[in-house]
Amino acid sequence: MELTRRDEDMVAVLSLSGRLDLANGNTLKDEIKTVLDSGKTAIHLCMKDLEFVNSSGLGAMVSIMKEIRLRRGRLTLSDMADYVREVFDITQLSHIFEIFPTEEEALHSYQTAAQI
Amino acid sequence: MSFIKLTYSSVIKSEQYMYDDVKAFLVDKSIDARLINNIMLSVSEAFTNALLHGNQSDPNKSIHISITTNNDEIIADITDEGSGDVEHLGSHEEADLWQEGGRGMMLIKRISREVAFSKSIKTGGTQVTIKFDRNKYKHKVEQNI
Repeated sequence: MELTRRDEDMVAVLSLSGRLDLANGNTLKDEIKTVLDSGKTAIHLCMKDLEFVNSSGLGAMVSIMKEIRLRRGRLTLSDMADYVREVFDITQLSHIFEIFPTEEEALHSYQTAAQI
Repeated sequence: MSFIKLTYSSVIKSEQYMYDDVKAFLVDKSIDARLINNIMLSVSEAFTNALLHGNQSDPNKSIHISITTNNDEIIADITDEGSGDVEHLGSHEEADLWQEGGRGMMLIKRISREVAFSKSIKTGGTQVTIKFDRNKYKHKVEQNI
């Protein structure tokens, strides 16, 4: 799995590519901790190039969600391949994650929330 | 009928090698892409269970994979070299949403046609047999046209 980070105003945008599984769940957790420690608590994960996720990867996702909530932050996801979305739906994790069709829509939601 | 037999040591890196090998075999057999996704997820989950729970990450123990395809079904066997205790494997409660583990077996059951657990005569460990119905996917393709 590869992770690239860029900042869009108040939101840290991480792009995931490759596989999210037992071998690299900790990489994601460590990167999220780094982002949170840098003071950013609004995090968006773009999953456009994520090819595969299994239950170990889902476990890492739940772990980072808990960590972000603990810091009173917000996590959004977008651009899931149909197959990845299906895994989130089967496990009902789509109920606890904010999933947007596109990154643009996800980032727009932060602007809207900031205006309220 | 076609089949492939593979063996890997119980180290985390092996999961990636197994994934690449099994996927290449299935692609070569012109299996439906959605079915390949479901097979790869199921085999990955069973492989992780074999590695962590069956072989307890002992690099001296192996995980054996066998994939058999015919016109109607695909059968995946994942066998470890652990204690072969299969009694606890059959019944899996759905994971609490905020739980970090415990979704693997539930996923396999949801996306395959049949899952069975047995004690392997060859290794003494646990053998997980997962079956997939090829016709179900062919039917979906016809419906989509």
